[in-house]
Amino acid sequence: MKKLLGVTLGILTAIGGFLDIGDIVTAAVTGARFRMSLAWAVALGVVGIVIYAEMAGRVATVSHRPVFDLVRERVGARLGLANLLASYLVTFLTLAAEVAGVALALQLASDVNYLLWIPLVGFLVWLVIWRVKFETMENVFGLIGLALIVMAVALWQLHPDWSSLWHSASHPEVTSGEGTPTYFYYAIALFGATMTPYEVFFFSSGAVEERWQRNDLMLNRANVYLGFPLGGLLTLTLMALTAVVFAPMNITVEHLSQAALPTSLALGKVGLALIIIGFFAATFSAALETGLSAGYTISQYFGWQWGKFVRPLGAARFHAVVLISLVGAVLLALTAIDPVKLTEYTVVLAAAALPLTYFPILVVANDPDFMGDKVNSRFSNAIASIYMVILVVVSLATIPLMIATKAGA
Amino acid sequence: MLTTEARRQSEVLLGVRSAATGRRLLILVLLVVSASCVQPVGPARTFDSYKHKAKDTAETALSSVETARLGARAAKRDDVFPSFLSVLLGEAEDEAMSAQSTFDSVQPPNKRSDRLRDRLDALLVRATDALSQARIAARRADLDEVARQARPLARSSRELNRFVEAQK
Repeated sequence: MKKLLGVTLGILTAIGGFLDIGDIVTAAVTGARFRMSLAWAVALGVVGIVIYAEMAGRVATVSHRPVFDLVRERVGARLGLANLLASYLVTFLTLAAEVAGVALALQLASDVNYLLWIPLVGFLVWLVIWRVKFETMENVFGLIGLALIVMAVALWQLHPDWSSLWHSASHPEVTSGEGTPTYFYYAIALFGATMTPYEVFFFSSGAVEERWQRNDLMLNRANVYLGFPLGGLLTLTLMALTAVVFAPMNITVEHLSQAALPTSLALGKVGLALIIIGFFAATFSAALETGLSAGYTISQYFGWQWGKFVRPLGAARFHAVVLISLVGAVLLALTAIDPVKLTEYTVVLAAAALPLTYFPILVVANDPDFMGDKVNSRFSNAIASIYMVILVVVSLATIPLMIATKAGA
Repeated sequence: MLTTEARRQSEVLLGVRSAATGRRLLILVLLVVSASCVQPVGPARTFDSYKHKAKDTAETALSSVETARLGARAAKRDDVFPSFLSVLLGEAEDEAMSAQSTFDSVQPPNKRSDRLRDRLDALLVRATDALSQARIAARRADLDEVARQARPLARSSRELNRFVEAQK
């Protein structure tokens, strides 16, 4: 049982990282607009995050130092600071969106305006980060997030034309009425969402929090190989649900409520209850991940004591950064800024900064001084290098595409 | 070999440069975000341009109406909670009303455009009215009444579909 629970870090990271509020809506939007023809972008992102998260987890396990700790050392103070500012900005904006996302999930269950839930959500996120043990947190939210598997049951229950879905996924093409730049804008949004930097900050810091040792490297692989593909499969399932239900009716998806509707149509109230619980767990997990990552990045850059593995008094500055970030996020969310749009923009902006996060991991994973005999294999390096080229291309194309397509409008 | 003073000065200089780089990065990010987020309604100088905007508006309203029809179908089968349905229909109504108000703010360039505007406005009023009725019933937890709105919603859907096809 303990071994089974050992993979919950990967599940929590993947569910919170792949299925945050913006990703849920982006997957639903792309399914309704492009059917499964953007499935390749999710698959490409899953392989990329599996390769780099495994590397980040291995580096953290062997060196006992998480990603951001190494970023500054490897890229220097100036570039490290630019990286910190970009990463923190993206993480902070995502945190604000996630807090609003949790509130939106609560609104679906209660019909009470989401703005009224936001202060309570902010307090709950802080309370869990402050009081709940890291292991308990990942077990509880990782497992509750599995409620999203109800989407797969709903898809099966809708009796879709599987060959048509497979054809759409395996023969990608720009849907009629959509422009090629818009198609690639959404491809980047999906790819960026699967490779969001805070996932590796959180995952590698989590490995240190859990005090993984060299003999836990198998656990690292199990987490990565099970958790992240599961997150990717759930994303594809949601895309397929909206492709089956909304695409034939030319419905465009703009809200979280629409993402839950196909499951309700397929499975009734039980399905609806489970998917709302799943949305709550996924967005709450993402809020925990981004809240902690805000503290991790700043503390690790400045060399402060960080983490939940020490008493809060021993990591006072880390907890102060988390608290200040949460208060700021709650205030930003209370301005009634559209949380869905906010996350969509941050995911795309994060894509522009991807090489800054992943390049230092690749360098350190090849450094025998840190890694000893656990350096990358030639095969890993070959795949990781190909991905580095893809990341650079994506980062260069992101902002021009965002402007050219008016953010996919 | 740097002296301690020279090293301190270079560190201060490095800090200043890093801060400046950070500020420049922040400004760039904010500019990009604002350039992407702000989507002002462009003027329509020709009938074709106005017709294109009318078609987009009708498509948005149609999407809202179809979403509401699915909601009404779920209500008929008792497959949804009233709280969820209320949120779904409220958002669909907001989306349609926002599209209508954006379209109405565009100045029609000529008489022909005036007629197109009047035609679409009539359809949009009927659609938003049906959406409002459904939303009101959902807020009262009256799922039977929501299900009854399926008929006016279906009519709006047909009308909007015909309008969209006519503009192609």
